[in-house]
Amino acid sequence: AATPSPDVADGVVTLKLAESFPAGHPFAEAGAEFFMARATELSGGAVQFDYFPAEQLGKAADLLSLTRSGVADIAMVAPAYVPAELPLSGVADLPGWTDQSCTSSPAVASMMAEDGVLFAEDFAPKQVRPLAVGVIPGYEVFSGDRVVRTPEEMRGLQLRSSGGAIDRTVRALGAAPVAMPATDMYEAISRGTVDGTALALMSAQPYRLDEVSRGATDGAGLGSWTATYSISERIWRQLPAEIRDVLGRAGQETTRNLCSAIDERNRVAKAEMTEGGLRFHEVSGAQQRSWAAAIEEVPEQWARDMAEIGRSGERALRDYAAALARAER
Amino acid sequence: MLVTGVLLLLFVLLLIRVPVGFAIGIAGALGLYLHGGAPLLLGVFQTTPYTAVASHSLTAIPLFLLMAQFILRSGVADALFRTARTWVGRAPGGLGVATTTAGSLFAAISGSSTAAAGTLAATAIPEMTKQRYDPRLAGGLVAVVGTLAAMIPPSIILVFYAVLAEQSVGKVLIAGFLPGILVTLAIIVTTLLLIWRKPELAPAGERYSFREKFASLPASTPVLLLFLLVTGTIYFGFATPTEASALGAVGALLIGLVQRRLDLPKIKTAIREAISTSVMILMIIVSAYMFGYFLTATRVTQNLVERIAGLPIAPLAIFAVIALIYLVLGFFMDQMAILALTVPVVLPVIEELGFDPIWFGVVIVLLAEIGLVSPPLGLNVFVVARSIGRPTGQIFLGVLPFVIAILLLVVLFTLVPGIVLWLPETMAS
Amino acid sequence: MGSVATRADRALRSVERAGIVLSGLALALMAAFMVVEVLLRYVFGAPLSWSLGFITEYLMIGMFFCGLSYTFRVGGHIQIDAVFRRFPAPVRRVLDIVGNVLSTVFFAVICYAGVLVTSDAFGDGDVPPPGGSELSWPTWTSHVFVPLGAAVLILRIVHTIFVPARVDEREAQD
Ligand code: NA
Ligand code: NA
Repeated sequence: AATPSPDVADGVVTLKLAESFPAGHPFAEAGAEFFMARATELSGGAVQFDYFPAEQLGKAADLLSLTRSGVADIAMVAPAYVPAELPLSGVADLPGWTDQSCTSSPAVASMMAEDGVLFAEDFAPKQVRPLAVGVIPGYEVFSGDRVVRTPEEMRGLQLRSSGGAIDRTVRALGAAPVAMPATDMYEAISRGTVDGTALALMSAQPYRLDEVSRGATDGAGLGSWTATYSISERIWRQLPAEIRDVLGRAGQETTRNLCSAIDERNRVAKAEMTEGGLRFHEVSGAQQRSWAAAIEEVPEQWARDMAEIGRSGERALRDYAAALARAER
Repeated sequence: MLVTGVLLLLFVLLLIRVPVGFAIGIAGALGLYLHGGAPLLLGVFQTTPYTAVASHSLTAIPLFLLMAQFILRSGVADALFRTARTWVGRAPGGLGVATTTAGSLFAAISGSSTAAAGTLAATAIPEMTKQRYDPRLAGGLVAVVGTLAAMIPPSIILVFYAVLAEQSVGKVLIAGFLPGILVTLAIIVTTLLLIWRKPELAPAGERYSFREKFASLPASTPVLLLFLLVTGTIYFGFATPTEASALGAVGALLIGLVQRRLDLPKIKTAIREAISTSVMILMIIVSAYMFGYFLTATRVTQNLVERIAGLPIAPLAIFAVIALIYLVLGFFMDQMAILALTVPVVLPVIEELGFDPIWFGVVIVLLAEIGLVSPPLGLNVFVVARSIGRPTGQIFLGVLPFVIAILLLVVLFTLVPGIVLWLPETMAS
Repeated sequence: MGSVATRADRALRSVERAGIVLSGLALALMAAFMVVEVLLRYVFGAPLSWSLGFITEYLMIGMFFCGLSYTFRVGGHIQIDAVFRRFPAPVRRVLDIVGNVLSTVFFAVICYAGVLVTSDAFGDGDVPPPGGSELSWPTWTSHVFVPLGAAVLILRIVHTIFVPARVDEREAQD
């Protein structure tokens, strides 16, 4: 196949950046737009961007493939959308980790750096290179008619699920994940087609789940959603060293900037949904232990499944735990 | 410049009879190649054919088509028409009203406008001819009644729109219900007005006793059952719209089997027909995505939105122009192709102007449906003309009064969008 | 020449017949699966989590690509021939060849791109991990339908270039 090459004119590199979220979304604002502004600034204008938000350049699940083939140079790549291509990178999406994005995002970023296991086993073989990482932590259960406070109350529920690691968690709790597009979720919950969903606070709010849910857990810690801004390796290799340096630095700054925006958005979303009439049931003390016990085996099972397809699941779990500990300090 | 050239190529390809679903893709492919070279072309082609087809919402299209095929082949339409005739056939123009009523009931279980027109042409027109209806009125009426199938749920083209516009399939389908009923009423009123002015157009029909009337009712049970199974399911949220389409297909099959009106050869034909129509529609979607990439990569869409939204003109006036364009496109082009090519470009403009995307879908589908009964390319008219052996020109004339009535409705829906949006809004609570 | 074309046609038809059988099975399974899914949900409260992926990645893909060539042969694609019909026969013949050659190139690109995707997925051993919501089948087993379906269609179009389908035959089919 023809090799894609960066668009260079008069010493200015123009990169096509594709994003799945629409303008105004925290990822678009604090992620892509921040990254572009920083890269342009740090390079003194030598790096410019052609920006395609809102899936203009392809469906979220296609962005990895479109980056590899050169339709986009940099794109939002989310492991949960491409489990066959980036299976190991779903490690941070498993339940039981921190609910702070500014702890998880840099921890994942370190594992996606050149010496990290996620880079070596997932990204490098696919010829893409993560520049920035954003983790949306804190998945909670939003239920329509039935109130969920304990893991026992999850039994038999049918929850709309976005796929990926969250499906394992939902099943481990005795509930059934029902796959359906996010656009159908509001109706499906309001009319009882499903009993609810498991979602992060900031992702639930735009869908107005406070209008259709009787309650939500607060602190169940059911999982996270990881996304990266990744550049095509073939484009990367053709860029001059100083441009690569700029992109790398802009990426690191973006990871830090984006995580604060995510943590802030999660806080605001919770406050606003409470105002909208949604009751949050705080998970504390003994309840916290029973939620943790109910999902305890999910990561171990995940690691065994990874081993079955030849990936180092055990190592990813260990590395991530260590990286989180480092990030917390 | 490049965009103009590619649009010109597309136009030429369509005129030299390249299948619509190929022509759009070929033009898009050349555009992609000229804009971004082989990497862009190959990159887009590596994802598009697969992703466009592997869509969950789109599964409703083959399943609704399969349902329509099962219904068609089990002769439900004949039974419906006979029931409607027994009830209203005696009044002047009664047969016309019966045809419209049967047509709207049939529309409630069939998703395809042209299939509905073809079916009614075969059942209703011979009857009207026997009673010395004016052939122009009879043909025009049946061709127009076919378009109801695209409004009253289920509707293939509304699913198609919902997928292109990334709107909830269920809401878009339900939104078509009330407008579909109003179109039915408009057709009936127009028929009666025509007959009032010229009674010789439609002689009065036979009289039936109440016993006969009630005896004819069970024939419409399958329709009621299927309507509940599909539209009821979608409205009350018993299942998702795609699941409802599967329930409809399996339901139609079971009803046909129980009534002993379907056998293995008929089932096989139904499946084959459903597949070839599905492949045709999906091919248009695949090609439209390719063409859409070309428009995005060249930034045509984005620039258009900015430019139109910046015009110092009232949104309603801009919408009127857009509506006129849809009407004219309908004269020449296939409905699916119109939507596939325009929705990705026009919808962002419409939303920027503050219109509701669900409302917009219903209105432009209604406008595009007028194209099915307007010259020079009016598929419903061709189907009716072929089925009764009349010149198409006569039927195009017969359709005219009904088209005017539908256009008045479009104006009404534009001024009172609540008519379209009320039902989908009540779905949620 | 004539007998080569006839034999090619016969061979193609048997491939297309196999295709339409697979395509029909996919459609029937799609309907059956969704109905079962609804029943499972209401009666047993336990939907199949992998059915969505199976329906889109195997049944939809299989139905479309296995039925692609058949649909072309029976004239299932909408064409606009109001203008076309007014041209004299020799012009129509030439225009048809032009259209078919362009279509061949178009599907050749689809086929080639599909081969790239399938061989990449095969070479990289892409497979959704077991235990997730997707079937843990190698992804190439789904992507391979794209080049296969396109290849059969290309042969059919090339055959049409040499032995044009008669218009009356097309109309008899719909
Ligand atoms: Na309908
Ligand atoms: Na027309």
